[in-house]
Amino acid sequence: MRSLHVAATGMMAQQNNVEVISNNIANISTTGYKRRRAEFQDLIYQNLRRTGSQSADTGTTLPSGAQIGLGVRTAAVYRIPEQGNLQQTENRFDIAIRGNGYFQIQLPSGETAYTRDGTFGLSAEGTIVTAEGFVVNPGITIPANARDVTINANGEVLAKLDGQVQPQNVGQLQLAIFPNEGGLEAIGDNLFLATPSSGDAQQGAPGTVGYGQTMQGFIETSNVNVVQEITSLITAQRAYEMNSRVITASDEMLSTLTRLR
Amino acid sequence: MDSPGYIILSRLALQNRATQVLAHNLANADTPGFRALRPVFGEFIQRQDQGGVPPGGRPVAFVQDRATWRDMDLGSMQVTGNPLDAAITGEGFFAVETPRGERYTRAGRFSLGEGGRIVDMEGNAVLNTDGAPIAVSPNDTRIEIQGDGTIRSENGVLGRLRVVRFDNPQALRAEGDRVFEANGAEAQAVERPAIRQGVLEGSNVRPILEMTRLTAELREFQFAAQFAEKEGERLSTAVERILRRRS
Repeated sequence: MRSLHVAATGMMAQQNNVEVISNNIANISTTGYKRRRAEFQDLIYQNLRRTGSQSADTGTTLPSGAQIGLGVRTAAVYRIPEQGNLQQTENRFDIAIRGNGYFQIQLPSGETAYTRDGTFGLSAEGTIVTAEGFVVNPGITIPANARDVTINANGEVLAKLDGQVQPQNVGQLQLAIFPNEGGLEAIGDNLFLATPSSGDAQQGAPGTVGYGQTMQGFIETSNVNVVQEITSLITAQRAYEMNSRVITASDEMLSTLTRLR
Repeated sequence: MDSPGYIILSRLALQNRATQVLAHNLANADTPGFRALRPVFGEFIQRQDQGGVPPGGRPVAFVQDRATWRDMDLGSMQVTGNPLDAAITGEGFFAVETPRGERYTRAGRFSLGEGGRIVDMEGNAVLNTDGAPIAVSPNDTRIEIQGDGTIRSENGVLGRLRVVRFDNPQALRAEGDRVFEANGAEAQAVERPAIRQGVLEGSNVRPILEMTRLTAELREFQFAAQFAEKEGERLSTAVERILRRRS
């Protein structure tokens, strides 16, 4: 009974689907989270009769062969890079990206990671760091005597120093964009690493062509849409049930066979 | 000669196979660009070696699965918003370059691969009308796929998708991983393909239909099994009677 195994591949695929959906729902309030989708592709086929071969009984050429598929497998779990909602926080070091791009984060290991989670703060030395304390590239230090800090749409960090009328430019945030965002590898904590399939990061100032703008006082929430997720969940569950009915039917056939005398 | 027994066995084997094709369809109810398979059964007439059919007799017919036939109906269309997703809303297939040669697919889930080439889920390059890969440069940020398959960005035209059709799409051989092999058939370029950007064609499996068929297959299997059982009973009764008369 091959149909038992075929239906099992279908059930496994749908289980995978449910796992991806549950991860999306779990991350519904994660800053900068991008929803994911599982996608499937058909497994190899067995050719019982090849197209174009001669049929034995009449000698004619077969117009189509007899192929039997062996089921399904998960092809990919891909990220949907759509912009998430923007939420105002009033925190002056919360920065959201409107449009393309990632912040560059210096990991303690020396690697550069990328993120869209802009919940930043200041370190003891006054450097802009992530919630985990990793330095945001290029390291921008706010002078201790700064009274107010403004970050404009082009990523320029302007500090108003004590006793000065004009705000002073103390740094410029840089964004990274990739030829293929989908190829980034997620390492958790909202961080991504570049891979050969994402291509090399290109750096640029926010607001220039191809790069998004920075928005001070906002964070980008996840782009998970509850209604969509629940709908997918129901669809996945139904598909799972249908595959399990195939198993029941195949089992019934088997038991019919064993009852034959 | 136990013809009825063998005939019904051929039927049982086929019912089994039909269920497997059904299981494969259902398992792929969510696979983009998947085309449902249908088994075709035919009568297989046993050759009567000596003198053909005896006078007054009838030829013995076994069942044989002759072919699987591919349902070429359109699949359900799903709006994804991904700029590199493309769906063919009419006839035709996208051409992709695999290590084994050119292959054809209806699953228009494309993304950017190494060197900015437009690739499918397996990383196979999607081909343009000249049979070459289509490359996107980092400066092309707004990619647009037009109705006729022309891909352009703000910097101009990048290429046009190769969309092909076959006189007999049934001759195509599915290789898995959503691709089809031409299998000797000649791919003809479609002059005016109907392509939609940001849309993905799903599978054309209609689960309700498959479930109904599954129930029917199961009952037919049970019916055939019952027939086999009754035939067995008939034989053993016959043997019993013959033995009783002899004793």
